[in-house]
Amino acid sequence: MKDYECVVIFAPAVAGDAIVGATKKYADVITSQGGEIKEIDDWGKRSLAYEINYHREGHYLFYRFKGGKSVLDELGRQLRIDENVIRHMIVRDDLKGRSHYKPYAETQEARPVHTEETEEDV
Amino acid sequence: MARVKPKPKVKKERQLRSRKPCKFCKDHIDFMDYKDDKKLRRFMTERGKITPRRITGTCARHQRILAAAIKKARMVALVPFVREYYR
Repeated sequence: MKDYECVVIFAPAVAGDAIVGATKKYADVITSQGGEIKEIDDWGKRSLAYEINYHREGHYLFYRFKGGKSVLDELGRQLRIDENVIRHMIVRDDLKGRSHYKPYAETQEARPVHTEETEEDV
Repeated sequence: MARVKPKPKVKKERQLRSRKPCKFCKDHIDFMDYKDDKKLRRFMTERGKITPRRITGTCARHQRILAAAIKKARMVALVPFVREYYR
């Protein structure tokens, strides 16, 4: 079991309940494969640095989790199938306890952070 | 036409400049977050290239860490691969 980070970019048309649903869906994928979620973060809509599938914006979702090979395989497979996902990246989390940067922190203070408890009221 | 004899090359003396200190070494940073696109952009040209070490003064080790972070950030469109024009 190692620490990983996963960034998922949804097409800009995906919003509201669809995002909340997808957040939960991929969280469930991780836990169902024996993974352990450490952090779920919604970066919101951001403009992309370059066009992906003709989209100029994307809705970013960020996960930090602990898991083994089956988690990575299943999560990657599910993300590749999902048509709403225009890009995803799973990388090793090498923070080693350091605090990591939150891309929206400087512009918006309070963004809804999806955690197990607050997932409903977004 | 007579061939013009090439002038003997005079070796220009390159001015020795004291090397810029590596910013990362100075601040004892051994980790670069790919999510911090603002910071990464400071080490990229307007066109999206990674600025060479000789310009920024970054040491080899930190340049590697930085380059890896930039490449990750490119994958998730936080930072451009190339930028052909200004938006």
